Amino acid sequence: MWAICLLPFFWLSRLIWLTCIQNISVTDGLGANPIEFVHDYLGLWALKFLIITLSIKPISFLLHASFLNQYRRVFGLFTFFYSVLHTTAYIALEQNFELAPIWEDVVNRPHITVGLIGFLALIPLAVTSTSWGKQKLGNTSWKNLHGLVYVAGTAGCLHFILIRKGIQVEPIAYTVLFVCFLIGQIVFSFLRSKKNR
Amino acid sequence: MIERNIKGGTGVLIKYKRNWEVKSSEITSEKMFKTRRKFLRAALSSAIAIGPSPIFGATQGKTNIVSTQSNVGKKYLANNDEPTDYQSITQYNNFYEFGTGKRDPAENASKFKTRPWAVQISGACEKPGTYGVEDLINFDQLEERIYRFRCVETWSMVVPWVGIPLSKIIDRVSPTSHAKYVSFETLHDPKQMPGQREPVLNWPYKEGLRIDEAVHPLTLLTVGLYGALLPNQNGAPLRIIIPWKYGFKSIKSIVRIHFQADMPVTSWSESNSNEYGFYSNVNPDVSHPRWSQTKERRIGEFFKRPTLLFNGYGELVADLYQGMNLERWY
Repeated sequence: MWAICLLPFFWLSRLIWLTCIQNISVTDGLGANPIEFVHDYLGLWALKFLIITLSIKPISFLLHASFLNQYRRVFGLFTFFYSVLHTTAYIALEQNFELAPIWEDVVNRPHITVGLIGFLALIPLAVTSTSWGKQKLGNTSWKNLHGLVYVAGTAGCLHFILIRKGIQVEPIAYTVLFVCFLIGQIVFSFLRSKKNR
Repeated sequence: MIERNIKGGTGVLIKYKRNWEVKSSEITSEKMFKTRRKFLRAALSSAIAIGPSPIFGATQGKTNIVSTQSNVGKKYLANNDEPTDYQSITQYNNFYEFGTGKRDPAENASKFKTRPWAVQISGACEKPGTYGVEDLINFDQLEERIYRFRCVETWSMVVPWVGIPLSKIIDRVSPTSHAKYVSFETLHDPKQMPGQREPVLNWPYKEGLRIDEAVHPLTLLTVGLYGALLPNQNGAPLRIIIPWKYGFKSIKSIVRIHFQADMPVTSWSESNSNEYGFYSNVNPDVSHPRWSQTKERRIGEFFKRPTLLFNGYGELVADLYQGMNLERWY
């Protein structure tokens, strides 16, 4: 499963290698603006992984395949992995580690503010993803804490919509998918709490 | 990475460079030159039949549509303003009529029909009418102008455009005293332009200039780049280049030019007036809600470089905005 999750990363690494070492033309490879390509690519995969992670529970429920649920952790962790790389690309490649412009972006530019919130929301999830974390927190508070994934998802989708100019289909499609899972989760927990009562 | 671009996968730039470093009179005899003009006319009138291959061939140095090397704006280029390679200029485009991805226009515009092409000129002028590209542009007078090109998304290029000053056309149709502004429209044809089937903007694309900006010697009515006809993805057959403004002002594939008394509504300010104003002059000191405009990444370079006021053409254009608050009139 790890190998599958790393495929986008390997693919990108291959393109970087081809572009830098083999001088392939700008029509293949990373294109005319490699930094923008890398940055966007990593961000998009972070969002893809987040949505895949959220899809596992409903899919396993519909298919009666509960063994799938064990993969939620690894997909969740890879959401974090690609978010870290995306954020690093922004700090290192876009801003060259200059703190003042980064801070200016965080304060003045809504898409950056929202993106940062999404990234920060993922950190406690990654930290408490181990069995140790789950034990330490106890089941209920662990589950409550991990509700932050919906904060991260909302921020991620908003970040994507805001960064595109005009009204564009792609970020809206991701958002619709995410909202479906969000609504599904709300309905699911509502029904369960009713049953428990 | 810089080296990669200068070398250019196919060596287009290197080959081409020899052409424009020498005066055209030195490389071609007059007779050859005239034959070439004839060939060009033939190529233009049958471009639909032949398809894009001869046009692409032209970029390899076979046909050169440039008659004169213009020095307008040239002295404002610095040593580090090397023309961006042909591949990057033609494979990395914002032309939302053909899709919102940077590579979409090159992919989706290949079958775009640019001949015959009519431009409707209307409004406050003495000679309104519908003109063909060949009527508007005297192909014996094409100039090459090497300009910096700065996108609002904070990337930039240097492009050797080919065209004639827009003022020549404007003079010909004699605007009246009511013509305070000029508005431009791109073709609206969702059948040919798949991007127009999506509500990205309120199609057709609309842009505008104040009349003094439109007749400014730097403003170029553009039909080519790198010595050859414009590839479709770069706004064929006819576009405008205003080098001191953000790229989206330089409207592509124009079908309508209208002279009017009021400030025209432009597509981007209609879509989001907080972010895109009418003037949209390149200005590092006026921050944009999305991007700090203090720096830009030149395509082919790793580190960003500082952005210049009016994209470095201040000496030529600052007078147009004397006494104006550039922060307010962004």
